[in-house]
Amino acid sequence: MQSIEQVKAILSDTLGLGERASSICAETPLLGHLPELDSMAVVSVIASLEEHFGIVLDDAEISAANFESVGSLAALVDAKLAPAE
Amino acid sequence: MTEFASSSTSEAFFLDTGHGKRFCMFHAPREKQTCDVAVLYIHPFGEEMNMSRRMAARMSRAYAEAGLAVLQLDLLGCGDSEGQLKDANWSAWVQDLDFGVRWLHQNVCDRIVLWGLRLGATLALDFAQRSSFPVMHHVLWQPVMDGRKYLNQFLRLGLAAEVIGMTGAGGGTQSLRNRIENGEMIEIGGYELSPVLVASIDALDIASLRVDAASVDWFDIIPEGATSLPPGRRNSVQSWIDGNRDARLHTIPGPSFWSTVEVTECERLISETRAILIKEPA
Repeated sequence: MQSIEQVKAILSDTLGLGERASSICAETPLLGHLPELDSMAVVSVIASLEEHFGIVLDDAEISAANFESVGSLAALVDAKLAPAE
Repeated sequence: MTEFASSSTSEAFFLDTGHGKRFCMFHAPREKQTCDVAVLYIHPFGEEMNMSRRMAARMSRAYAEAGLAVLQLDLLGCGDSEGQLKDANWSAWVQDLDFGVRWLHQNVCDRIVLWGLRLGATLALDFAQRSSFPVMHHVLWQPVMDGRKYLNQFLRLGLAAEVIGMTGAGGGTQSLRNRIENGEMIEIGGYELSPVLVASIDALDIASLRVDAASVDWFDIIPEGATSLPPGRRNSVQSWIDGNRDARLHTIPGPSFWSTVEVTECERLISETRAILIKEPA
């Protein structure tokens, strides 16, 4: 997952994770596990991902499945960055 | 010119615009007798306004310490001003800024700096284009460049609440937009948006907000450790800077304090913004 390092940085900055950031990995669960991840935070993370990577997420992609873990979010970004067929 | 109380440095008051009262905070400059630059602060929209209050207060005091007067004005329906957000529209906000500048002319001086954060920065540019009051300088903090994209992010709050399991089906951004198009008022996270306001914000495109007469300092926050703007923003910002007569870009590593989960501050933004104005010729 090429974007995972940047996704981790965006999550850390937006959620203010501080020292916890160093222990984040692809398997780290997000929804339901991070108290900071309320609806405002979800919107901020998405906005940061869009601005940073130059992608646009549509409604269907803002889902519990994509926000399940750091890895699932990074996979979403990678899929959006992949060249169109 | 009004005599400022020598013991107080910040004074709250309500400005009567004739269309309702607007809550204002005035920060008197340290050396009031030599003050010849007045700053009008234009706050961001929604929760961004709340999250950035501390930065706005700190920067206002930094300006005052450096000898500039600052007026913070809450727009119609925002903060502590009169009026409800559902009655707000872009033209009313432009009018509010007109009153703010007029007050500064009457009470401080006529050398005006507009300092705006996020949608406030975009509003400042639009106001300056329409206003008969000359503006000397713009300080833009992370301007909103594309109104439609910005509003979509705002509309997503409802969707995000669903995702985290807080609410039942409220419909996605498209269904919200359909309701707006049918003339419905919508409420997102406690903020009521009228179709008129939505239409104005949707139409915002920074490329059409040019500055011919004033100088501009544009500040964008980038993540710590980054050295340039993110790819999603880089080209449009640079293109705006290059297309305006006297505009400079500053990239500041730090937190996006208007949208972090907890209130945060960006020291470097304060010091670099202050440094710009110190260099202004007297």
